[in-house]
Amino acid sequence: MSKDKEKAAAPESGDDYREYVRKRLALIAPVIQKVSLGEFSEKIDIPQGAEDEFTELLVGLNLMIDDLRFMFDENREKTAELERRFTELSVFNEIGRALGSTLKLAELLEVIYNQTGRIMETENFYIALYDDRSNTIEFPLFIEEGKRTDVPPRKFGKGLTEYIISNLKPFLIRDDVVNVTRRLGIDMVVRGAEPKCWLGVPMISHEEVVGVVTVQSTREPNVYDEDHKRLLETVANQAAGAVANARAYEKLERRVRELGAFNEVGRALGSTLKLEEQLKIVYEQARQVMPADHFYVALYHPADEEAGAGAEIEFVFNIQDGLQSPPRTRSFSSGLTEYIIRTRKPLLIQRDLRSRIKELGLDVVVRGTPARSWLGVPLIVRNEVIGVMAVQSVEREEAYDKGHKEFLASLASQASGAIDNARAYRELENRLTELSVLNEISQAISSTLDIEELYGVVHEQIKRLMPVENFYIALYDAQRDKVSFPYAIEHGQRVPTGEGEWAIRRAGHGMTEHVIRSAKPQVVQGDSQAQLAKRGINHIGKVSRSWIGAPMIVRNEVIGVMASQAFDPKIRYSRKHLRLLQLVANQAAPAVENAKAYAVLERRVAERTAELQKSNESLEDFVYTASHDLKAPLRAILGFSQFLVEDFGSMLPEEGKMYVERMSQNAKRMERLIDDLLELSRVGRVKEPYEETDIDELLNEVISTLVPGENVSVCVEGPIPHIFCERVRIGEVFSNLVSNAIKYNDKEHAEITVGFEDRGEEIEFFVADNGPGIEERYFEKIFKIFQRLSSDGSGTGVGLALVKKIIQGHKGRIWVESEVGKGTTFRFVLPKHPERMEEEQ
Amino acid sequence: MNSTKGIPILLVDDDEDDILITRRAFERYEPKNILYVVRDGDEALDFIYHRADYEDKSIPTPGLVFLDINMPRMNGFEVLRRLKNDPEKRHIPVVILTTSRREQDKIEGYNLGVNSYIVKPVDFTKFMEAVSTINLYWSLNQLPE
Repeated sequence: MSKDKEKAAAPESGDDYREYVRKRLALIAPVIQKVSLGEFSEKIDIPQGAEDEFTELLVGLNLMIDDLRFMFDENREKTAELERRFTELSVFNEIGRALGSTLKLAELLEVIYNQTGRIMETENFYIALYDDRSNTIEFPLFIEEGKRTDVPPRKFGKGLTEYIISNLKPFLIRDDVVNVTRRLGIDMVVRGAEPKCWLGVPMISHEEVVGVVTVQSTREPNVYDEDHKRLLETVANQAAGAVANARAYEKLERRVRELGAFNEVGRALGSTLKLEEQLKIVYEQARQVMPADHFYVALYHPADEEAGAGAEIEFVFNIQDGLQSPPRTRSFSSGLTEYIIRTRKPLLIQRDLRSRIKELGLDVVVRGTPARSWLGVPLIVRNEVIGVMAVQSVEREEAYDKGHKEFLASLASQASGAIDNARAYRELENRLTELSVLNEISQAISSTLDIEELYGVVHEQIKRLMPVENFYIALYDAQRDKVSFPYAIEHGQRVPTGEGEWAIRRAGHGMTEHVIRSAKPQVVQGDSQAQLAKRGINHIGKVSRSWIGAPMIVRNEVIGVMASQAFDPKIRYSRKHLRLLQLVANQAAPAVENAKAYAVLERRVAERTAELQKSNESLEDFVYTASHDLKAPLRAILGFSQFLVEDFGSMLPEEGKMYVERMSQNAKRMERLIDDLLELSRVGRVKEPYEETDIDELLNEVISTLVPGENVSVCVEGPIPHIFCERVRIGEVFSNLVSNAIKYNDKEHAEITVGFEDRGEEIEFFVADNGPGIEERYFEKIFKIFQRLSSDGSGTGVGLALVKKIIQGHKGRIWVESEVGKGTTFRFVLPKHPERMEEEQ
Repeated sequence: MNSTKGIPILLVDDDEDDILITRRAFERYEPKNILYVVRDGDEALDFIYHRADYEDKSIPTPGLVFLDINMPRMNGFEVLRRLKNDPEKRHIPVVILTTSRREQDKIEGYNLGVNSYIVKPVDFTKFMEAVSTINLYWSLNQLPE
């Protein structure tokens, strides 16, 4: 019994769950086959005078079976639904994994194709990519009747693919594709056979169509439905970002190669693409002409509305007191550098820096020793200000004159092109590094479905991209408008959430909520918190020096936010971090969503399994008790009919005695039926101990009790190896098969052979007869309960169901081979050590 | 053999059909034994303790009790518990005669000290055999205690 309990413990992983649920269902399946009252009465001749008793009995039994069937069907439906969800989820997961592990477009598309094929027909499948610049559509993957086909790119036209790209919506045409498209004015490009059913969904990344995924059937209409539409949409949504990334990566690679070539040319001119080296050269030149103990080059980054980033000034090259100091970034404010950027003109201040600043209407806090002379010039490329170059002297007034100004301006105009190129190159290099880092992240992300582990990975990887002190992940429940914090790090340590400032809360006016509402990444510096407060945004929790947060978006809905806060004044999150965090959030979002869905599914499977187990138990309990209650009236029928004959036999005419006799016979048959049912239910419920069994000996016992008679010969081809099994039950298997072979034999001399074939870990047994044979269409049916091929009334229709159930209980299988008129062979396979198999599992 | 005198036997059962069948089995086996029948546990205790309808002291203490499990008012286990907890009555042999083949019913019966447990056979002949075997055995083993 305790072993049973152990076995009943629900397995943990998904595949095992499925197997487990399936096994539980298989266990009860044979008990619950349909039996109609009509069928029943055909098998049992109801004697006169006992109709009421019998009808009542049969109705009761039938109601019971109806109940069981209902419970069974219900469970089977639930399991089928669960199985479907499992496949879908694993498909999405596979795609997610592939998206994370490759940036190669071709590999990516291949995965999308293969995985889609697991959830729907993909005999005709293609992925079209749209390039809005050249306004063309290309078909990097095109499957026609299961075969790969090369389809050349085409100009954006009026086809179905274009229709989807223009409408940004999935489109399902169940039937009559040709007419539907004609009515819509679509100029369908038909290659090969005309489609009968067509389904296409757009791949949308950052609100732009990247391409279209399409399946179609040329065989028949209605192959695809709303469910497929929903599934394909999910696939496309998942793929879109990755496809966009892969395309961007390929373009970048190309540009880097081009720039590399340019670099070769540039080197001949004494130029280099390394920004720092470039700036050093400029500095050296300036230093030879003017005092330049203080020198800087600042790059201007205009505001990026889409990224939610304000304008910034990046001091990429700084010399202070003749020493180089590290680069730093600040928001665009109202200093001298900004003044030059705005006016696009050089600025020379020869004395009185403070009053000049005031005159210019600037707002600068001068730290340390104020400069006495100051000279700055804009860096202009293609008529745009890209930055500022400035020198200053703290030593003396009038350190610079007009000549210096002109020299610095011309130095700036010479250098600006090179600086711009170097900057572009640096950005590309950064992008490439980021992409490879992101690649690693998503690989790590896709390899887990455990949500806790996932958060940990995200945190670890973000630490590689930016300085992090406090970090948290917030999840947003849009339905209930609530924000929860499943993961929080304070000063590098994981802290418990769910209480205090990390308590689940109704979405209010915090920064997290601001990111959720705007669906845009946000960065806030300590100094701008006051401004945010004016707009009704509060900073909940500790006030940080710098705060950065990015939304996690799945299917255009914000599912959560990841955010990082810094208290160290040296840390200042900038647009660069904003972009990086958003990239990580984009990578993580589908994985978080999947993990969430998986967790929900896991819980549901556990619940279902428990439910199933409970209903299984009550079901078996029910069969058992009901069968016993059915026996009481049988006892009465049998008893009283016997009393009738004993006491009043002499008064009964022969016909009356015959009726009573039939009555008893049928009642006895009913008893056998109930006993068989009981045994069947017992096989599922109670496990007998496994013991080493001498099958030859067992067969001897079984055959001797069957008393075959003169014209029956049963031949056993021994010696048969010993096996581990439930001895009595395997005895029942042989007993049933041999007695069937005898009972239904129509030949003058019945010949029955029992034999085996050793298959190593398994043994295949057979019981062959020379009887009437069974038509092939009954090969499956005979193993079902109450399915009887003969109507002679001697069988109960439970025997073979019981045999099958016992064999399945031993992890074996049974089937029948037969030829009508010649005979039947039942074959079954049993493992020699079923217990060992169980342990291994 | 004790059969010349016959022993009083109490049958506790609520199923009229089973009562008829059991009565016949007894009559067939040993008509000298007097079979008393009550329909539930309460009535069984009244009978044994000479209470209520059974105050008449001439009513004998049964030499053997056949007890069904599922009955209205008080079930068989409760009757068994009370009898086996009473030093005066615990010597009366009690045989559970029931339709239940449940393992837990058997275990509970033996835990409470039942002397034998019989599942009512459907076939009357087998039923009679079972009853007579038990009847014989326990009437020969009247333990004084």
